[in-house]
Amino acid sequence: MKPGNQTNGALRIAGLTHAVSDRPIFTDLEFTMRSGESVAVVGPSGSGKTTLLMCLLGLIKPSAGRVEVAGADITRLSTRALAAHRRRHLGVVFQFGELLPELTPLENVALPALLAGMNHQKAYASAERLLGDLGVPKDNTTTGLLSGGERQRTAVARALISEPAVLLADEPTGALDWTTRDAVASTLYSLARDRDCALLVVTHDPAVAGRADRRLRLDAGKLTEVA
Amino acid sequence: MIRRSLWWQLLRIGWNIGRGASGDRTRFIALLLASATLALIASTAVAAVAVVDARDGVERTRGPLFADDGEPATALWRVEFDAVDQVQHSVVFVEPLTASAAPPPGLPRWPARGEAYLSPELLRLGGPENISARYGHLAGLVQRNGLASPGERIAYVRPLHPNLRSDDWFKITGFGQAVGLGEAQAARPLSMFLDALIGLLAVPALALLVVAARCGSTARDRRSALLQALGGLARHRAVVNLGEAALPATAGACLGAVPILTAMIVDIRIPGTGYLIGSTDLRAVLWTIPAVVLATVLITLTAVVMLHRIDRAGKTTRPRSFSGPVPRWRLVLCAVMFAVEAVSGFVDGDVGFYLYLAGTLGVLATLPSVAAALSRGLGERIAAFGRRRGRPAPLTAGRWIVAHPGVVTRLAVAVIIGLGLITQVQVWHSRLSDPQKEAVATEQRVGGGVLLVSAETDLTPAQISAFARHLPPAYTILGLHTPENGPTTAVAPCPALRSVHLTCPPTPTALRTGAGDTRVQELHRWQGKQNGQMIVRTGSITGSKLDALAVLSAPEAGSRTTPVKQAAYATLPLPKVDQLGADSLISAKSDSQMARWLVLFGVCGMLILMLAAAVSAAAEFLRFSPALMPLTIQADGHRVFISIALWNLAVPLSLATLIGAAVTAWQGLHFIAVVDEGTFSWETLTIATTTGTLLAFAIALAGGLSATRAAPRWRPTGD
Repeated sequence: MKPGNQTNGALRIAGLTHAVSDRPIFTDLEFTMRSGESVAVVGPSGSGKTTLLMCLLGLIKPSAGRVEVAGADITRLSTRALAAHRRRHLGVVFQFGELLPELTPLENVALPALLAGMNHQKAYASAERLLGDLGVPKDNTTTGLLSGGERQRTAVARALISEPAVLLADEPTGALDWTTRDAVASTLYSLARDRDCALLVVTHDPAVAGRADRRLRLDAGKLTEVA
Repeated sequence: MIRRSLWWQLLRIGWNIGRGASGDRTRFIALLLASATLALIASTAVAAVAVVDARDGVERTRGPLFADDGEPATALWRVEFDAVDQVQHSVVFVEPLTASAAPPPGLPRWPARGEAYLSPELLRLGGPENISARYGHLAGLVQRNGLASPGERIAYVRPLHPNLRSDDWFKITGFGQAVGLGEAQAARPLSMFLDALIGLLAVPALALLVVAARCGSTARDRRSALLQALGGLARHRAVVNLGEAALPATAGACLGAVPILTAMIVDIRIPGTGYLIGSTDLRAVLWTIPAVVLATVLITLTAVVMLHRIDRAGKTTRPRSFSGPVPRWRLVLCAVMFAVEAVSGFVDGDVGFYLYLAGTLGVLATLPSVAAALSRGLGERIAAFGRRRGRPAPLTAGRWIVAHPGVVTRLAVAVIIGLGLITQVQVWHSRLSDPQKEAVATEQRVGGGVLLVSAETDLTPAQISAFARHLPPAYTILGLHTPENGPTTAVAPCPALRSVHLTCPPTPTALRTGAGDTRVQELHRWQGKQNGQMIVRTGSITGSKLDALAVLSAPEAGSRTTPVKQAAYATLPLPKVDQLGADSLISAKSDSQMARWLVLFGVCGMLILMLAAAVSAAAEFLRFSPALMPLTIQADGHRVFISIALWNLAVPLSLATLIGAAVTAWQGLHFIAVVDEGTFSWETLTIATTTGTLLAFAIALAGGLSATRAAPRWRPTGD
């Protein structure tokens, strides 16, 4: 059983506040996500969506508040413990995929598992299965030669290989055209749901946000539920 | 006002770029090193000019002013040559004629009869040969104002029993003109030194500057692109570049001037050559150092502005350029060139030599293509190994090598060409002329076992007796007389002839080839060379007309030269003591000293080339290593960068170094076989190979650590 399942939520933030040089970015944010639930965070540019995402990843230490991932408050963890916790419980999909273009998709997907010390046969098997589910070619084509949609689906597969309790996606369709966007968004949501993984998507795109179970709007430093 | 503040702002933008991420620091360090290297080379040239100026200055003060006919002379003067460890030095014999005559520059007083002044370096190097007692009693050291350089070897000697009526003395009225004494006598032209400096050091330094100027910098590229998008022109970008490069260029130029400034404080011995540079000589050019620094800064900044590269990287995960495959014909051509070089060994004469030359140049020219193909192959194997074993570092590093073979290729080619050049320089300069080869062969067979002793005039019986009395008993003396147009006659009493395995002929007899022991055979070989055959006569050496003595000693006599020279200087007027083929041995030694300079420059040039390639490789590594940083956020694998850098840079470069060393050794030995002369310096190759390998690991560790430090600071962007 995953630690995330032992608590009320896979991801919970409480009283989350962050300021840069006395300029508040957001104040007293609260929300909880269940396993298998999807949440979209929308908001205008500069509202602090990416900063919130980085707080959830533990890349930025908030000014105040708690960020509980799989039951542990990551704001109180040491650097080493945070890295280990992130490796076990968090997956992330970046806007531009951030893949290694010289590697094949299979190698790209297996890489985090290999870095985490997983048995390589198991890592490649998992990567192959994920890529199959996502419809990405598994031949020896390098990732740099894939289409934008294929690359982003590879990025989704890479984020899921460690079977995270929480999947964070930062504008995952931001660099894609309309057609590809729908396909990637559909895959992202369905895979997270199927794997009982909490999915938080930061996006500008109403269509992508519309697929989430809940939508939150970050504006003027406050998080509000969108109907 | 507005215009001025714009330039100021642009300069500040550039200034701030120089303090950016790891890639920018690489560029900073690269520019600093390039500037420092240029300043060092420029100041070396200035130092060379200063050293030659100082030498010429001393030369002009210490050479004798010859007395005209009828002009009253104040002293007698004569220069001869002697050698320590087969390096020649001047021995100046002097004899004051008036009490008021000024002593030679550098001497506090005239030496007394049987006294000698030695230069400090001659005293130091001649220690094992007991030089302090060779010319008589040591009166003191020649002062700096009488020396062309602090490392000059020279002796001023006043003979114990001079023949003042001899025509061999020059009558002089004082000192004050250059005649080519000491160091000046054997000095190579300054232009030769500067040519070597430019060819072997300045050209690689300029290559380093080009690499540093074109070294990628993420922050610089972004700001440059932004400036362009905002309507900035080339001159605006130039100002930003100046702001960015000003600090490293200035700091590097100042750093590069530190060695010459240090050498102005203390005398410094140049490693590898043993040459001692005088601090006082260099102080004369102190005023040029600011000019050197300024010129270096200007050259560096000009290169930075002229070689500015607009980069479009970082916008996509799609690779910028996967290099195309290496054309097959280039690989074939390299193989053909190798074959030509190999075959040249079986072709006699000039044709074989020119085939070797063409093959060597061809191999060096086509090697980059082969290195690129090999890099790719190596990358594929490393990646396959990583994939098979599930190891991320070799997998990623291997794939990067395949995608960017140029990085490894540049490094490998710099190493291989550098090693090749050094070896060629070393081997070419180890070649000996025929007389030199013969002299070396004789030296190897008998060493100092046969010494020729002569004096200013024919030797008198009294002189010969005195000389013989000064010698230890293990020495055999043969008297030599060489008439104007006839063969040399060797004369000695019967016991002496028997001791060197000769019979005692009742009448003068031509010596058969192979007669006598090895020492006699060598004497025969060298004396017969000049005058045909050699005659042997039984008789007393004091009762014959002699113009030279051959002193033969057994190996067990220990240091064979020292007692003979000491005896000669103690008993004979203006003596000369030489090994067989001494002139050739001395010229060979002089050539080898010249070669040491060239090898020194070659090694430094190779290091600069390798530094340029390493900087380029590190910069490239830091350009594509950020691609891995997002992954490490999820996987906590920061330490993987060091492993990747080792697989990506250290492993291929170490292999390239070893392959380069093997190819170089083969080329060098093959050359020696082709021309049937020269020696191969395994020491030079070992030093160069070890340095190359260490540099490979150092640059890999630096790149890996730099990326490791940068990884935790990576943040997703693109909102």
